[in-house]
Amino acid sequence: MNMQKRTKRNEFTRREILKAMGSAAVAASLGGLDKKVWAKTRPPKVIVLGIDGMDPTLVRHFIKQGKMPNTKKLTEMGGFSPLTTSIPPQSPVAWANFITGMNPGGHGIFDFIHREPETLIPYLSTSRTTPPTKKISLGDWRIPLSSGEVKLLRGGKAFWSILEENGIPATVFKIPSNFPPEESEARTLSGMGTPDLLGTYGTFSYYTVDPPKDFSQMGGGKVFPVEVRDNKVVAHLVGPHNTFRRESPRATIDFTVWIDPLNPAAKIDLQGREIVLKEKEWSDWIVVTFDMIPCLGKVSGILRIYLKELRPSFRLYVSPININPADPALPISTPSGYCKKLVDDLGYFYTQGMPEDTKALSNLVLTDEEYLEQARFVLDERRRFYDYELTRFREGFFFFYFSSLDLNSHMFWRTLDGNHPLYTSQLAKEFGWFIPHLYQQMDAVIGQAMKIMDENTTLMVISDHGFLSFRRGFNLNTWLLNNEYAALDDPLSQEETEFFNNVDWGKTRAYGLGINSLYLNRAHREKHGIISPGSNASALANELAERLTKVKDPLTGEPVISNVYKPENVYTGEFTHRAPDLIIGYNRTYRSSWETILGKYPRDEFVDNHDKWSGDHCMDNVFLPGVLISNRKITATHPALYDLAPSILNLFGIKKSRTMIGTSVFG
Amino acid sequence: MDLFNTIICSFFDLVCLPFADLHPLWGLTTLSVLTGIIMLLVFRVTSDQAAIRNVKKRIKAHFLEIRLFKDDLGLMLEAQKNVLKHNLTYMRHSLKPMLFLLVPVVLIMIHLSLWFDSSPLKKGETAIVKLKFREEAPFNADVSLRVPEGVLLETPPVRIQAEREICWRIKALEKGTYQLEVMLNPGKVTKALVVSDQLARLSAKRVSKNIFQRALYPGEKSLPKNTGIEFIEIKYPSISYHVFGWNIHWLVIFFVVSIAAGFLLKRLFNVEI
Repeated sequence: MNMQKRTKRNEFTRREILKAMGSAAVAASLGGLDKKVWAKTRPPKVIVLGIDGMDPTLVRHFIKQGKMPNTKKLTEMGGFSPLTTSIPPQSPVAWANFITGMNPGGHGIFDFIHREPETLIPYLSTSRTTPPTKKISLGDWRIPLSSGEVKLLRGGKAFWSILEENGIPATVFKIPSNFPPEESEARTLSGMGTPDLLGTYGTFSYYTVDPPKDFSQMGGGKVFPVEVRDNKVVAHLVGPHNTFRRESPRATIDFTVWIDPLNPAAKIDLQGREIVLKEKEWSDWIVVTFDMIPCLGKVSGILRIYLKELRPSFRLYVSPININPADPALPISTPSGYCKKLVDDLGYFYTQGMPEDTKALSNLVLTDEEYLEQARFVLDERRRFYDYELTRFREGFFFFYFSSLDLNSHMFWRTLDGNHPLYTSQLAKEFGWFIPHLYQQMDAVIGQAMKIMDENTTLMVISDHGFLSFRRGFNLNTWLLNNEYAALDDPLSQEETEFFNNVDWGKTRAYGLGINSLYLNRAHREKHGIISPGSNASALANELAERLTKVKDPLTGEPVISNVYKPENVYTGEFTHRAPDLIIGYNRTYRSSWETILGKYPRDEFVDNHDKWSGDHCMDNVFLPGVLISNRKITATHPALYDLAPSILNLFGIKKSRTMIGTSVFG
Repeated sequence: MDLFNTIICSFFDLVCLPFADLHPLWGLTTLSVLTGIIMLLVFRVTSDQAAIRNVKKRIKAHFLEIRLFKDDLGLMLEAQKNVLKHNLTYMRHSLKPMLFLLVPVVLIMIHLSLWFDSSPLKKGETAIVKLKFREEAPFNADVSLRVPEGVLLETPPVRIQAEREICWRIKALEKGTYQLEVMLNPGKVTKALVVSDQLARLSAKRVSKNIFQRALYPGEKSLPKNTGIEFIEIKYPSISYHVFGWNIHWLVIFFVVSIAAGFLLKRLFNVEI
């Protein structure tokens, strides 16, 4: 790229910026420049705070109540606007829109869960881990001849890579939809989508003498029945699959809990480490190492232990085993040493993409108070890292992500919505303060960023979507079954169906998989496809869209689905052909049920939501805009998430890439 | 033994204190180099330098023979036999100084471990205090821990009869050197605790009057025998030594640096090794 071209495109490299800055500093020191000229010569700085799930209605409400003074001030300096979210408004999809400046057709993330059409096996949409394909066998051992692979499935180029190519330094902390982190010169740490050491979004372990009924079915956690003998509990921690062994058994670590005969305290012996805890106390981070090949191959993780109860029942909770950032088993940062540097400077931290253990609360393994304590650890930890990175920020671009508002709104919306099945006035009295408190915490972090702003700094506070109550679940697959779009091999075993294992594919025309996705059983695409492409498929899609928008909840009489989107109408880009055939936009307070997401066919079409996961955003995107607040005037009338990447590039004088569909929100 | 330990500890305090404000790697490297020099000097005094020089020359000569007469199989085998023979002689000459070196080097290692193995507790950090009873002594469950101001006792005792031990968790609130009191009912014993940001001599274990244990843990006076306690331990955090991106144990650094210093400085001190 020559100088002439660059000037034409209003681009400049980091070196040029620094040079200009240096010259300006010399000139200023000689008294040759006044303040305004000096400010103009300095390079721009951009700070983006990504606050997942920050709802514009609540922000306005709390500003009005005087609970968010910094946000109010920022709004007055520049502007506040609802931010059009993605279709569907799921976090991985929405953040991928932000990262790439494209819609799902461009980046290829359509839902939390995708499926292989050839096998119908579901997988997490943002990344895929492939084990080594070639191995040799030595007795019980399997020696790989090649390395495995962990791949980011998000298409498109992250805007910070473009910044770095143009010499603008960038730090991107915990952004979702970026695991493994896209190769870049920027300092990045992967966020939502980063698995735990078991390869899941987070699997806790629960050791108890009285396991709950159907404990083997518990999602998001594993329950281990144990016995207390002579004040001693012997148990084992289950780690990742050991792919070096025949049949890949789980690697395990034995541990012992010694309980004091009278006092409510115990000692835990775990891999030579001794941890003394009182009842109802959390441990600090504990490093564990799973032996894969003795003396040669080890995998390291970190975890926290909560000693829930010693008497009369023994109950011990162990957090999901996070990837150890000091010795990561999978790539979680660029450069790879960045995560180790963070450990050296600040200590161990949650590397799991969704650190709040919502599953433990949903499964009643943790109580509201216990979950709240854990959620507070997460926020405190995140704020420590935020202070650290914000203090270090000198130039270029800085993004920092907060998950607390999103995951805790999911879990505590029942304290705000008087019509939610789990709402009680007592609950509202005890925990109704929590979500407002979190908004105030977010206001405080906004205030911190405002303190370091200068005339050249653009501060943007963004969220990927808003929030609504999730009162009723809709069993999409059951509706398809009842309306003869699907059929089962054995109708008597309808409720035992899992992962479509009882589906008569020869008579099934459509199926729901993922939270907002509906697929046609297309010939030449699905394993047992029957719908021929072209007019047949199109007619069926139209028919389904029409009928689904007419479905009404028999309890309330309200429509369940407000919009059904066809990918060709809402997506553009190279991955559009991989999109679901229909994207379901649920009405306010409705969402697909947990059962239908992974191919179950429960008896009833509707179900009251008795899960503590009571707030949600996987509805029609028109109800769930995010927020855009900035110290700069927002000129766009309907800014969208995919406008932000072009906006940021534009602030640095860099043209957006050809694949980006948005335009700058600042004009 | 206690007196001997006190004297040696005081000597090492003098040597190590100048490094208290620096990263432990500086002190460890310097003292390893000094140890290398001490090893050289002891080696020179206690070995037959002329005999070592002689045998090394012979080994070199036979190596030369191997290179020159590689087409003569008989001569080659004879030369190899001689190399082996002289190597054994060399080892015999080295044995005596090695035996002389063993005691001071072990002593140095024990005392350096008090300084460079673990770091003092920092303000806000927690540690486990563990008391273990001797096999033959009765398990006394009626033991309590008293902590001075500046230290917080965070948990009640966890008494584990099967392991003959009692554990507590403490938290450092303020910097200082403290004596924790273990109330035995009747009687009491104390255990030193250091809370500091600096490098400091730490006694991780206070042990009973077993001579071997007392040699290994010289940081505090031994425990009275009638208490039945084998040791009282504070689990201080280990010091991590990051060298060129590797996390290396302090003993590895000590051996590599002291041996390297010995080889590099042997000509300066005119020592044949």
